[in-house]
This record gives sequence, C-alpha cells and structure tokens, in this order.
Amino acid sequence: MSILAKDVTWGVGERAIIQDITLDCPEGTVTGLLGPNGSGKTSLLHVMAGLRRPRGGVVELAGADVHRMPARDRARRIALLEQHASTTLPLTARHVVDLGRIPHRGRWPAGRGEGAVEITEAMRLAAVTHLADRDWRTLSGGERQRVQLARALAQRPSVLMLDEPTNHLDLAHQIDLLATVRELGLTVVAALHDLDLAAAFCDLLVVLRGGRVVTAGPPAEVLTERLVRDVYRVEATVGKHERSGRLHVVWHDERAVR
Amino acid sequence: MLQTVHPARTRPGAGFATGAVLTALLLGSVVVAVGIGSVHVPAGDVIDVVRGRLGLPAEGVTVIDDRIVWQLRMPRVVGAAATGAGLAIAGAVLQSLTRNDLADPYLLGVSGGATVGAVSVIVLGVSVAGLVGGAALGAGAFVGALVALALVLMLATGRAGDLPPARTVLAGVAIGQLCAAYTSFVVMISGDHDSARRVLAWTMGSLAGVRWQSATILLVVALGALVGIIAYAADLDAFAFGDASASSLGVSIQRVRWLLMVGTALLTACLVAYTGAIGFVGLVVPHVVRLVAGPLHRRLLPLSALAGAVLLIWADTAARSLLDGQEVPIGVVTAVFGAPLFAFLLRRESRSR
Amino acid sequence: MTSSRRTRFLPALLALPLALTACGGAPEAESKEAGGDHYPVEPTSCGFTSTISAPPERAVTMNQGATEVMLSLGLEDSMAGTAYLDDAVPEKWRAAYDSVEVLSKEYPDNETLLKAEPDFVYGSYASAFGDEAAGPQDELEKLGIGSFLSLFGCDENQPSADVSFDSVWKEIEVVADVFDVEDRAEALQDEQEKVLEELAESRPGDGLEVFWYDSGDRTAFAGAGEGGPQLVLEAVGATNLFADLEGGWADVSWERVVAADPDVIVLADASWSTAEDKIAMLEKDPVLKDLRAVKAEAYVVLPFSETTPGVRLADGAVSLGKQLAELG
Repeated sequence: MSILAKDVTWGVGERAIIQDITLDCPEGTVTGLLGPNGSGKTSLLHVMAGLRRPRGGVVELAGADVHRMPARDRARRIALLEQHASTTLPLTARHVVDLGRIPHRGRWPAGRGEGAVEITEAMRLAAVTHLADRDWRTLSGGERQRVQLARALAQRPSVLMLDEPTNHLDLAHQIDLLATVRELGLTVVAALHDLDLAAAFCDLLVVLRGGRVVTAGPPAEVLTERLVRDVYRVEATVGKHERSGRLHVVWHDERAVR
Repeated sequence: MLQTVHPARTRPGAGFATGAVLTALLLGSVVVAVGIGSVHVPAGDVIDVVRGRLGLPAEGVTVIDDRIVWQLRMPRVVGAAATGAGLAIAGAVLQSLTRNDLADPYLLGVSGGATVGAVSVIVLGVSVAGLVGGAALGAGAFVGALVALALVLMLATGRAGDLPPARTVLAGVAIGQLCAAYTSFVVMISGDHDSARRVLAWTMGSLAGVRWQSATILLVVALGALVGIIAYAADLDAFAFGDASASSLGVSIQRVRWLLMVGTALLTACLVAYTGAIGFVGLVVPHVVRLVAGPLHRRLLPLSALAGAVLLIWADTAARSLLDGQEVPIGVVTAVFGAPLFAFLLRRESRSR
Repeated sequence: MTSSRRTRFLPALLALPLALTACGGAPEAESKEAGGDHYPVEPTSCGFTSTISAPPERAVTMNQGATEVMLSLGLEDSMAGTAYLDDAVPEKWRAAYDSVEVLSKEYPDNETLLKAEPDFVYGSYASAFGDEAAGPQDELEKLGIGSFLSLFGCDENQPSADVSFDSVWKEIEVVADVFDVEDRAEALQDEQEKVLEELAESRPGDGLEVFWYDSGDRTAFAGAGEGGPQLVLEAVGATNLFADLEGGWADVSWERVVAADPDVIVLADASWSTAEDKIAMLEKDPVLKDLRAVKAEAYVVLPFSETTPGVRLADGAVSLGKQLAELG
C-alpha cells in the first residue's frame, strides 16, 4: 500500500516540531528520511505510523485516513521499528517477536499455535533464529535491533517505518537489513543517517531540517554537494563509484589527512 | 557468559503445569487451613462438619464445632483466598502498566485513602449511611479510597488526558503522604488513648471479621476482576517496551491504561474495605510468578491469582493460630515473610543482569 | 452503680480527718509550715524521685486516674487544675471535681500548664510527661515543681508495677504521703479491703465464665490475664476466658469465644467504644448472635474508668458483683 502525508504539522505545547510536511511514498518503494538530529524525523515517523495525531494535515494509507482507523487495523498494516527499545522484563527473543502478532489476535488468549509460521519466517528474515530462546536483556545492541525488526515483520505489515534501524548494526547487517526489506516489497519509510546507504537502497529521499522539508526526490537529484554543505555543514564530493555505479558521498577535512 | 533463559519458562506446557500445581495447592490449602485454628478441633470432626454442610451424611457434629469450622474459619479461608488473588492480580497489572517493579495495589492512593476513611470513622466517629461498627468502617474506608483515587488521577493526568506512568507513581506518593499526614493529625489531636492502637490494627489488616456474607462478596469481586482483566492480557504484554511500542501494536494506550488503573483501584478498594491494607502480597507474588512462568500475562495473571490465594490463606492461618488465643495482625505476617523474600528476589535479579 | 450507702458514708469519713486538722492544734499547723518532721517527702516511681518539701497547694492532675486518686483522698482544695478525662467522674466526687478548673480536654501544653502555676504534677501515663504535655519530670523539678507518675504508667524503660489491689493502695499511700494525709489513705484502703472481702465471701461470679469485651470490631480487644479486668473478675470469683494471655488486654480469637460459649459478657463502656455499639455488633454478627450470653442478653456494663488499674477498680468489682447478682 502507498502511504502519504499531506501538510502534516505536529508539535508539543506552543512549539511546532514538524510543519507542513508533504511526502508521497508509492507502494513498494523505499523512502529515506534524512536530516540532522532534531530535524523531526522521529516525530514524523510517529505521526505517519498513527501514534500521534497531527494538528494539521492528514496521513493516508492507500487513501484511508490513518488516524481515523481503529488502532488494531492500523497495526496490521503499519509496523514501526523504534530507535531505542528497552524493557526490564525477562522476555525471550521469541516472546518479543510474538508481540508482533498481537494486532492479529482476538482479545481472548487464542490457540497456542497462532502466528507460528509468521514468527518463524520473520525471525529467519531478520537472521535471529538462533537467538530465539535467549533473554532479550542479554543481547547486544545489534541483536536487539534485529529482534525488533523480526517483531515488526511478524506484524505482516504493508508499510514499515524504520527509525535509524542501522544504528547498532555491523556493516554486513546494515546492508542485509535494508536489502531484505527492499526485497520484501513493502512500502518502507526509513530515517537514515548514513548517506551512502541511503543512496544505495532508497528510491526516494526526503531531507528535513528544522521540522520542514528542504528537498525531496530521487537520490541522484537530492544528494548534491550543496545539500551536504547546507544541511549537514560538511564539505564533500558526491560521485559515482566506478565499480558499483552507486552514488557515494566523500567528505573532506584536513584533519583526516595522515 | 551470556545467559539462556531457563527453558522451562518458554515451554508451552510450563504454564499449565504450574497452574495445575498451584490449583492443587490451593485446594489442599483450603482443606488443611480449615482444620487449623486457636481452638483444637480434631480432623475427623472438621471433615464431618464440612460433609454435613455439603449435604453428605455426617455424624456427631456439635453446634460449636460447626460454628467454629464452618461459620468462623471457612469464610476466613475463602475470604483470604479471594483477597490474596485480587491483590496479586492488581499488583501484576500495575507493575506492567507503570513499568515499575515496585508498584503494588496501593499505588493509586487506595491504602492511604482507605486509612483516612477508617480513621475518620474510628476516631472522629463520622457515620456513613447510618451504618455502625464494622460496616461503617468498611464503607468509610471504601469512600476514602475512592476520593484518594480521584485525587491521584486528577494530579496524574497529563495535558493530553493520558496517564504517564512516572507521573502517576509520583501522584500516588504525594496523595499517600497527604493521607498519612491527615491520619497522624487526627489520631494525635482528636484521638484518645486507644486510637493509635486501633488505627494501627486497621492498617495492618485482618480477616477476623470476615463471615460468609463478606466472603461471598470478596469472592465475586476477585473472580470478576480476574475474568475482566485477563481479557486485557495481550494489551498488557504490548506495554513491555513502552507506550510508543504498545501503540504501534494497535493498543489504545490511553483507554486501556485508564480502564485498567481505575479497575484495579476499585478492586483494591473493595478488598481493603473488608480486610484492611494487607501489604506485600501484591508486590511480591507477581515477581515470584514471573520468575517461574515468565512475564506473559495470559499466564502471569491467573497464576498470580492462584499463588496469591494460597499465600494469604496461609498468612491468615498463621495470624489466627501462631499465638494461643490471640490474633496477630495479618499485615505483620505478610511483612515478615514478604520482606526477606523480596530481598532475595532483588538479589537474584541483580545477579542475572 | 456505686453503693448509695458509700456515697453518703465516704465524704463523712474523709471529712473527719479534715475536721480534725482544722480544729487541730496550732502545733500541727505550725509543724507543717515549718516543714515539720514529715517533710521532705520523696515519692518515687518509674525510676524517678521527686523531692517535696511542703504540702503542695496547687496540684495539677494530667489523667483521670490521677484526678480520681486525688479526689478519693479529698484533696480538691489542694488542686489547681485537672486534664484529660476519659469518661465521667462518678457522682460521689462530682461536686469536688467541678470545684477544680479543667485545664484542657486532653493534655495541656507546656504553657497552659505553667500558667496554672502548679507546684505538683501527677500523671497516670508516661505520655503525660512527654514534651508536648507537661515535659520531663526532671525539667519540672528544676522549676521547683514536684511530680509523680503512676506506678502503673512507666514506659518501656522501667517496668510498671504488677497490677494488683496492693499496688493500687501503695500508690494512694505514696500520694497521700506527699500531701500528709496518710490517714485518709488508710481509711480508703480499709474500706476497699472490706468491700473486697465481702465480695470474696459472696462470690457472685462463682462458676461463671466471662468474656471481657473492651473494644474492637473485627478482632476483639479483650481483658487478658494481668490487668484491671483480671483483678475485677477475680474479685467476684469469676473466670476470665482469656486469663492465660499476658498483659492487661489483647486482640483475641473469636474461635475461643465461640468454643467456650461464655456465661456472661462484660462490656467496657467508653466514648470511643460504647457498650451499645458492641452489643449491636454482637447481635448482628451471624455467628456471635448465637452465643448463649448474647441470646440471653447476659451483659454487664462497666464504665471504662472502672476497668483500669486505679482507685475505682474496687468500684468496678462491686458494680460487677451487683450486676451479676441481678442477672441471676
């Protein structure tokens, strides 16, 4: 399903944290949200995922207003992977992934087998099958992130919202994660900080600064030296890598010379 | 060396096995506890009394034995089971909703408010709906609990009408302190020689006044609460990683939190009105059950209810038979066993992290 | 409930020594003013000794027990104030009580007490000499104010006297000594002994098993084996259901009450727990309403102040004896 945000504004108290945000993510595309810290990426993801009600504007999922949907229906279609997840409870990784089936289950404890297939599949895709019986609290940052991804996948969503999903991951796992979600054909909106990864895996890039959209479009159009300078305040060269043909950003700073 | 969770917790059958054991323990406890008390009634006579009451043929049942076993002890045992179950469930729910391991059923000002109500009846002689004696005390306690709950909720409600966990806990502490101040003030200024002792006795809790009427009400309330709350087992699980996570899993966090907090507060207020504020059960039982059967609520809730019931049956049995002819306040018994148990749990938890 | 004969008799008895002192010779009065050979008197209790060098003329009593000891010795003219009444002072002393100023409903604070310019402070419970009340006895001593704490009122640091009539009379003797009216104490003791002897002979409570219900609703706070209730019951020859428990009172088990099915229930009547309320509770309770004593309404009611160790215990015994006889 496609998801779009039209003139979305949201804030706390007097302050507006995001303003007049419009972005259109066609079905099956991967959209990268870029921008420095504090630019409103997490807030935008939360509003689009239906967790927060916008003050102005609307979020539509295949034409239906996300904030008018019953919460469970929404949760069956949109899954959110947060930046930080923590708990003090002694949950196993499997328990955590099992949480993803909650939107699909009735109120009364269902038959024990419900969702077994989805859970197994989700754990395989996130490469956490071997962690199933481990206590979540003993896992490394990266392992936790992938277990949470499995949980999101177990929801069998059409839209996946990812908030800095690659933060704790090794390079190999970072690539795996983005490749996997892309292959699944889900509509993905991901807040990313790694420009090279964004360039490699996203169909669309949206750049935020100060709660507003600075620019949006395909990576080749958006990732310019000027943008990197204006938004990230770093001097860089953007070019195509000879072997892979992918865009990559190389920053310059004398202090890095050895 | 990274730890594996004890496989028992994750085995699908573990919940049922533990449940079966606890149920057997509960039934066994009822049977044994009704035979223990400050007056010695031989086991055979106890059995005869019960048989007689159940309509089975029984011989030689004296009126006094029947009164003691069936009219005094049995309702206490039933009442203790219901109260223990209710307190344990309430504790489990509040610990999950506030994500605070130290939450107990009295979090929302219920115990403080109930004491205010009780003190007003005991010391100031405030009358409630023309009731006297124990009934007035219970009614006063219930009303006091409701007022305190309302104050806590007012204080805790955020701008958006939600109940942020941290703020709720603090509001509970604040109102609790206010209630304690009122209680002390009334006892010291308006109280007579006996007031302090009687108020203390009330706060320590007792099942000595529970007869069949009260026991039945307690049982209905506890069972109703259990059934009602189990319906929210999945929602409670969803709170494991916090509000955003729960919301993304489709839980209407505001509605669920309000419903469950008010619901458990009402449950607790009912229990407290009959038996006073018995401590430690609601705090410790959910932790022990979590250790054995894991944190998922479809197991945690019913198993906590069973464990709480068993625990309080034995605490009450101890309270009424430890000292010959004398009653020990049940709050003392639960504290004496609860405090070291809790310390043990804390050490275990900190070692496993 | 007190014997009307005694009501008329006692003041006459007490008036006698007073009359004697009044028309007594100058020598006696002189020796008093000069300090005489009776003073200094050093009343001791709970590990504290006070020094009294002359008969106090402005005594303040801090509890009902203390007030009643003073009134029973006819010392109202030596009193400047009373405080903390639990229930009504009996008829026989009513006029005397009314002639003394009531300083406060409960304990007076330091200032109120000092304003009354006391030279002697007498309390029944250790709390009377707490900081918010009269203040510690040694502080009072420094201000030249003598004091005395009941032998039964010592706090945890000092053991209180055993509860017995002898101890009651000992205390009255000590207080009488302070005011140099020992003969009145003797007379009082004689009288009480006589009354107790009569009861010991007639034994109105013989063979009766009694449940002494002081207060409490869920659990009963009942008379135990070592206090006022036990003494009073023993004086009439009755058996206390909970005589085996330590202390004056205890929270007791209803099971034992039901098992024993006592003959009589004694109810202490206090403003915080009236006999009426207790009876209502007993009659409403599904189990207790079937007790023999409840069905037959075999109740004895005693005012609370006749059940605590003090000068009125004997009155309590007499009243109990009478009511038991009436119950037949």
